[in-house]
Amino acid sequence: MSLIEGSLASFIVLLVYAVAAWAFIRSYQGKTEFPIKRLRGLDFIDDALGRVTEMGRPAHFSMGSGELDAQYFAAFEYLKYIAHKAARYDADLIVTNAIPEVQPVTEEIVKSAYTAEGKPDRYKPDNIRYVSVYALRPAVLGAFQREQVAANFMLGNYYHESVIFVEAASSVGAISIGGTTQTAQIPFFVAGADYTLIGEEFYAGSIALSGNVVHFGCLASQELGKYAAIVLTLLGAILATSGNDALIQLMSK
Amino acid sequence: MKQQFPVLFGAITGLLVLFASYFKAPVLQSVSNELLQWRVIVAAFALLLGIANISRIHVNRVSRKDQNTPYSLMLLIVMYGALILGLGYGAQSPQYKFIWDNVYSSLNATWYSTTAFYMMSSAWRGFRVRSVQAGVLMVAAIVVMLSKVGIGELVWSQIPAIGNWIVEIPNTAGMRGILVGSCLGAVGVSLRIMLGLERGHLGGGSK
Repeated sequence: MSLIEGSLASFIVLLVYAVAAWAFIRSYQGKTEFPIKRLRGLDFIDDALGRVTEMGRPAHFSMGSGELDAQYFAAFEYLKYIAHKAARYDADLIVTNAIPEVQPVTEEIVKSAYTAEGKPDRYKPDNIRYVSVYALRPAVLGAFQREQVAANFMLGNYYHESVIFVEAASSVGAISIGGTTQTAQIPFFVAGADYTLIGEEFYAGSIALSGNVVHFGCLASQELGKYAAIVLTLLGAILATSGNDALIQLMSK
Repeated sequence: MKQQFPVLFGAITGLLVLFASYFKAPVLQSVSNELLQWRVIVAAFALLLGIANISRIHVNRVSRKDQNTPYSLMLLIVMYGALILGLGYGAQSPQYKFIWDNVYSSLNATWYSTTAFYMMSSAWRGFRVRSVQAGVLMVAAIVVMLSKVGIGELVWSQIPAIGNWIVEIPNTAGMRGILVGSCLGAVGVSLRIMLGLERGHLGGGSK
């Protein structure tokens, strides 16, 4: 069994990442405080839920129409947090899913949150909705208008529906919080949403909400990887400018 | 057991597929391909859950007889009508293709085209100059927009070159920076899933 050609560099990066994460997790074991700054976006989530409670209107959560990927798993942490808070404040939470695989997962997360907060009777199964990918836009816009949502959480794998949702939410006076790693959609969130979690911030926010030592270990490893990427980029730029392709050759092995 | 089995199953399958993308081993490749096929089957079963969810919600609305009942009734008729036509005549049949071409495709294109109006509205709100950053955004956007239309060159011959420079240099650099950070985050999530350490998707009352 040998390595597939061209995959050595990425395999080494993966191994280093995993070992670093393991080392950080071990160093964080038993700790309750982690060295992470509070993201302003998370405060906005709390403010939005407070507004939902004050206005007596529901909150809406959607993960976009993109295919199932790591963003959904990060979005589940946000959903868990938002559902717990909504249950605690006796607020209604509407979740609209566009891909069927996440429907049972979101039902379980929201139901568990309402049950854990001692309010299983407040859980409304009809508020966890599945619609097909192309029906997502009219379904969400209809929900915004009919149910007059007060907060719009757009956290996940978004395509062009990002701009539609953010504008529709604005037209009903809802606070919008966006978060995605889709670079083409980030400008729409920045232009229209009240707060945007950009790229890695989106993952970091979900880790901060999870409060899980394993997640914090991975976040520390992620930070280390980021610095390594900066060093490699600078080194690569210097070498490429001087006509040396040694780093490119090494990375393509 | 309810939580341990999915985590263990996810970890084993995830690691197998991961190793198959790094190591040359025919057995590993065939197992990985088979598991990727299973994903399609699982998604199909999940679609049934989705149909059940839509049916439950809209049957409830029809039975309540509120102001939205006609829309729910229409949805159920169209959904099950298309399903029966597709199952009865096949997805390539003229009957099914008629619905696809004349209802679904045209409605979808209509929705897609509305995006332009939402973009206009978003740009109007986003380009209000409330800070230095918003000012930079607005100036860059105007230059790039002018560089993409003929009138830009008439205003100043250097505008297309400046617009291209903005798109290719600072914009690409920023996008790549975001991508590198995002990819590292995605690797972290994937590793946690494959090592059975990610449980956020399993519900539970950890908070």
